[in-house]
Amino acid sequence: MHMNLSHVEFLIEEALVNLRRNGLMTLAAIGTVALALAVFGGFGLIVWRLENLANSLPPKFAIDVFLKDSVSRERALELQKQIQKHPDIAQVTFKPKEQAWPEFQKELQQEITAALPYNPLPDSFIIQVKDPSRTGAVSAWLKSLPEVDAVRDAKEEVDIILSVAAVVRWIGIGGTLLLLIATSVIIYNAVRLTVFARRREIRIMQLIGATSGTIRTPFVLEGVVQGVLGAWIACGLILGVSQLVSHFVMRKLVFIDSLGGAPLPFWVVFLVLTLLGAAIGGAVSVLSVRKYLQAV
Amino acid sequence: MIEIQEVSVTYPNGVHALRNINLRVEKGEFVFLVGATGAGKSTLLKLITREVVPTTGKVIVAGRNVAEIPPHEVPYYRRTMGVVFQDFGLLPNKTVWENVAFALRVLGLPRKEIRKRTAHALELVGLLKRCNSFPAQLSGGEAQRVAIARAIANDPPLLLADEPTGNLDPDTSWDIMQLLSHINIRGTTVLVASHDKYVIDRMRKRVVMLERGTIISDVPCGVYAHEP
Repeated sequence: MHMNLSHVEFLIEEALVNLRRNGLMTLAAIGTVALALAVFGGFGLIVWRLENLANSLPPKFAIDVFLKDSVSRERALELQKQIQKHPDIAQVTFKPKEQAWPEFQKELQQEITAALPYNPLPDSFIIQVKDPSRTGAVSAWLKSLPEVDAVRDAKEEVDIILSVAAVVRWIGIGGTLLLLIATSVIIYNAVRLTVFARRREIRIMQLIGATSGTIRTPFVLEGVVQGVLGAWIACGLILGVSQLVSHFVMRKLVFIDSLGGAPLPFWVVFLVLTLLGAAIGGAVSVLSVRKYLQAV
Repeated sequence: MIEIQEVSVTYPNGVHALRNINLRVEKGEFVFLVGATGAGKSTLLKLITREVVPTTGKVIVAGRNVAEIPPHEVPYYRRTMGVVFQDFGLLPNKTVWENVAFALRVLGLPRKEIRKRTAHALELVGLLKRCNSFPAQLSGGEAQRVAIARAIANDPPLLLADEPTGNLDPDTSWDIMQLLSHINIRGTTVLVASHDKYVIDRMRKRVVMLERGTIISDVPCGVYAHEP
């Protein structure tokens, strides 16, 4: 079949005129898409934030390595370079005892520390691991070094946080998939109703001699436009609600923000929902029209 | 033009719509298909539009066995005929002009040609001045005229009408039949399914009478007075 420019123009014009003149149906479909995608997007955002939060916590638990008193400053700096080469270690910070002492004094009451005649603290390293789940292995290796007196890690706490994060991740992925299916079904129903209302038009067009492509294309374009417009409204809803939440709730729960985990950038939400709206809108239109195209 | 050879149609629900029908319609003829509801008139027209394929037998239109047309060619086949329905079959969201132009636009004709033919068809049915109205704003007679304008806009060699006056009062029905007759005189073969006795008797055209899926009479210049 040849597709000249005026035919393409005709199909687009058909879609736009139909959208305008089926105003109420169009609004109902757009509204359904908007609500469904807003719920989906909102859930996605919450899951993303939780996941991010869980991931941001373990690196805060560094490993403290205390050196024996007999280790010289030169040896300690050499050791720092050696530790730095370990593949699981992200960062090694050397904390000499003369720096640790005033911090310790500040933390405790000065009267107690002031009574001590000398600095009892050892030199130490503060070590960040790359992958929190490797904390135990790294600690064991550090303990085996002859210069090391003691190692303090938060392996148990890290393990708990990691397992909670894993649960959150799986609930998030499962929930997102379920919601995606539910969203598609809801949008499919909305679009199917608009097509059902116009099934006679499809029959008339068939008897006039319109090809299936000519009948289908305006419906699909309409579905895509409805999906995209619905997605944009959903973005507006999400933006509005998240502003409200951060304004009224987060201010009172400052610790959530201080725990870390950046919110998903809005343009990502916008892009994902727009593409999703267009894809679902187009796909369900093809499905809805197919039934009536087969009828004659 | 049309040859129906020993055709039977049985619907999937077991209803025998047509039983062993033979009918020949020459080019340029005007034929009434008459009979009570359920006699098989609509099924006979649907055989020609290929909405229904015969269970047995052959339907040949313009030398082509209709059952053998592959599905993707059916739209092109349908462009060789105009169809008029009892309920007019206008697209409700399109104006009178757009309804007629639509049939030409699906053919992919150039804009200028579409404008010319749409105006010509609407003028022929006397509704050019109502071209910006929507179907809901038209009377039954006007709506049927628009449907006829759409059916003939492409100047097809064949025009099929299924109960075109079924929803119209007697005077309007007579006007519509006159219009169909006028189109027939211009050279188009016309097949009309109807049980509008008043009109049929006055038209003095060929009348094919169906009863329970079989042809029980076929007379030239007939009347629908042939009650059993």
